[in-house]
Amino acid sequence: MSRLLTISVFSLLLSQIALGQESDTTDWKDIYRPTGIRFGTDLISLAKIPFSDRFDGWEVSADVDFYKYYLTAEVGSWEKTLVSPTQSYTNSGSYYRIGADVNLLLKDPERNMFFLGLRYAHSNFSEQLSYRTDDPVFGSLEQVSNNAAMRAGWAEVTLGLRVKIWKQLWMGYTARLKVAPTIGTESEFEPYDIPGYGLASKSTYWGFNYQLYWRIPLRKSVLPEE
Amino acid sequence: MRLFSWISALIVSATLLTSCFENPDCIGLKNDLVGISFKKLFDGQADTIQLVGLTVSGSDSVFRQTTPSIIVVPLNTFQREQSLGVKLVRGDYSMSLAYQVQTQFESVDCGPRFLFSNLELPQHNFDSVRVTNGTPFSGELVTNIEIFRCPATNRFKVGFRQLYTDDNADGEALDETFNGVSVDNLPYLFYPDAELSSLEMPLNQGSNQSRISFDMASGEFNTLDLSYEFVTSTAVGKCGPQGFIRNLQVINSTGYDIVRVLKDSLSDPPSTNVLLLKCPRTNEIEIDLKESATSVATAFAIDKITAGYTTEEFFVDTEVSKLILPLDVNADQTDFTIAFEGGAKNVSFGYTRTPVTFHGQCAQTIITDLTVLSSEFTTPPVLVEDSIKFPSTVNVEIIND
Repeated sequence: MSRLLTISVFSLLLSQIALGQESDTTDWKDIYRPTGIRFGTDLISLAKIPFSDRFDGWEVSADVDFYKYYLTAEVGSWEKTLVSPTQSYTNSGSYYRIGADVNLLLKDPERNMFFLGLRYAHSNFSEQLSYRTDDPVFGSLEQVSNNAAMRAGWAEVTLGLRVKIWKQLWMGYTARLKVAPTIGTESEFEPYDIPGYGLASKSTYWGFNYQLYWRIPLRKSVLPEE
Repeated sequence: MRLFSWISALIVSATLLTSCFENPDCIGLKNDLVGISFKKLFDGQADTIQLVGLTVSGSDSVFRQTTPSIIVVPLNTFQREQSLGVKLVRGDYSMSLAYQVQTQFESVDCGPRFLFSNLELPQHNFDSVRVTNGTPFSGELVTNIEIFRCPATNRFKVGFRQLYTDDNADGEALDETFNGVSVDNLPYLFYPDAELSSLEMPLNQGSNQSRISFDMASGEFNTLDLSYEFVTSTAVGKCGPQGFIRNLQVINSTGYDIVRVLKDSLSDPPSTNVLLLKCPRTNEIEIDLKESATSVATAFAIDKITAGYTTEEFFVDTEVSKLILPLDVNADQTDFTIAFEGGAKNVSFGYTRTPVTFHGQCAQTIITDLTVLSSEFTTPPVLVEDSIKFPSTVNVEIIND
């Protein structure tokens, strides 16, 4: 399913590049010059902090446009703490994503976006599991398992909206299909939760960000002639 | 914007739906069991072992054998190597098990999971060992390790049989009850409360003779003295030259009437080498005790029973409804004194004796024309059968009124 989606998105991107060669009279160098940089943050991560004693984290992002293509970078951090009477799990780490989005709405004068995109993501993290086991043969024992300096990478297919709210203030959301997580370090404690990805045991994972952006304009937007 | 609304609703729904799958039921995996199968090197077949003791490092638990040729041992989650002591009747063995354990955090509501793998055997003193499955199990039995042994060269088998007053010279299997068996100074073999018609045991390989002592449940000790020779040969190449026992002979025996050597060399698996036979007992009178002529046999408390021809005491401090007592084969009359709790009473039996030899070796006395010569019981004993049978049948009914 995820492979099919990835192929579809690639095909769409290529078709967009091909369709981009539209008019001989257009100054394409001017059109592809960035018109602004947006900086934003994930409101969901921030909103979860006061309501959850299990999660702490933040995520910021930035994108810059090249006509209908947007170079995107996202950086974040998360910590999870899961506690029960017999065990406790904690992890912490940072992650980044880089990739590109394609705006499918070419005729919108405000350059509002409905986009598809791809990301490569990487996470550096550590985690610790403290637990007690009651073995009928070997007795009870409390044990601590650590994963220090872990690395993981994965790919994402994104889909979302960016809408201009007021002047340079933008809002939007990004839905993510995270696929193919790979963990670079062998360990006797199987990694449980990868910051930025989620449960390491899942080969695909959904993610969702609701984002608030501030756009810094660099020049006036020029749309190609029809 | 209507399109945006639909797309937004779709994405939010998909996100909520997939979030439902994040908390599956607890699996609680812990595949920490190792199945060890015992086999014979010379034919690859399962080897029936007699486990005396099984110990694992890090635990003082006692492990039991679940099947005749397979044992199951647990691995220690918090170690990566574990030593195993296997004490068999045929000897003491040890092995080290090396393995990997991966800890998995399942969820905050479930305990951690432990995934055991990469089982290896860095050390052992068995004849031959191999790992057939490097992943320990948690549910259905899996054989992880196969232990092979060379042919046993000292396994001796003895059978017990009962002869009857018929033409069957081999008799029938006789179930004997033992406390145990010892062979010279080799470890004592316990057989508590087991009724066995044959026994296997090792012979002493440090000598050309062995004395087997049968510790009977009745308190008797029967013995069998054997002599033999050793012949060195190579039966299985991997095992090298071994000393095989040949020319087995019986020097002496006690407790049995006839000894027959069926096979004078030892084999693996062992086949019966020696038969110990008992002749039919043709002088045992069977007496039912009753409260009245119309009642069934009733148990009475008896202090003891004595006979005029022997100092042996029978049924001492016993509550019993049926008496089987030996008649004197050297006289035509036997006098019994039955001491009940309330007092002793005498009874005398007369009979006719006829010497007969069964199966060529059992010189017995057939007893017929049984009569009650005298009795101190109020009601005269009732004669039911006037000839002694084997196995016995009721000859006399005594009403103890």
